[in-house]
Amino acid sequence: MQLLTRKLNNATIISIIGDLDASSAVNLDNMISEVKIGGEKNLLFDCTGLQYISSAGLGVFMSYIQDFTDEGIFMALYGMSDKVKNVFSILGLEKLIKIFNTEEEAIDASNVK
Amino acid sequence: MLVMLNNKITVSSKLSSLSEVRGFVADYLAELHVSENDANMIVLSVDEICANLILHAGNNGLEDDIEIEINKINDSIKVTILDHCLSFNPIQSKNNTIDYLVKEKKKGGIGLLLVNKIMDKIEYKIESNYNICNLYKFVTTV
Repeated sequence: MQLLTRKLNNATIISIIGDLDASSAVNLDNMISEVKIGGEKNLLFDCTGLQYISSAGLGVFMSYIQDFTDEGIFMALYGMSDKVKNVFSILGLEKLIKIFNTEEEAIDASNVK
Repeated sequence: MLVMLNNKITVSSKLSSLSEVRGFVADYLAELHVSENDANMIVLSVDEICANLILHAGNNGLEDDIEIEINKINDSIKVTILDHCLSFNPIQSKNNTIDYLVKEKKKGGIGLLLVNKIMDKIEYKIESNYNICNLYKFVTTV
């Protein structure tokens, strides 16, 4: 799995490329921690290159929901394939995590939060 | 280590083996013409069980292997996951709720929730120092 970060407008975008599983989830966790410590208030995840996600990946996103809510940090994911989106929906996580189809929609949502 | 025998694979009990496991299960289910959605769900379940074994079962400090065998029985897929690790019963593991895990900021604990949602039946038994986990799912073929 590869992680790439970039700034766009007032958001940090982390692109996740490849498989997010039990062997790679820790890398994403570390990157989110770094961005959070840096004081980012809008964090978007570009999932257009995400080929596979297991519970270890879901768990990383889940573990930040409470902190981000408490600290007013906007988190959203976009660009998921149907295969990946389906894994989120098995446990109803799409109701707890903001998921958009496109980067434009996610950026718009971060601006109007 | 990677040994493939038609419907069987043996891999080292390491997290880096998970991608090989997923590839094997996906390829074999494709040979059986299992629908893409059913195949994706079975791949995920096998990945979750193997990851739990690797992370939580321990192996007494010894290098160990996990064996996976896939069989089609009528309209169902049976996946047998066999290992020599210290006993780890996925059925008896704590099944937390999503709300609890979010509130407690837990990163783990949802793998077995996924497997329970996806598979039709899960069996676990110990035979001759082997842990054996059988997963069953009714599938559609294309």
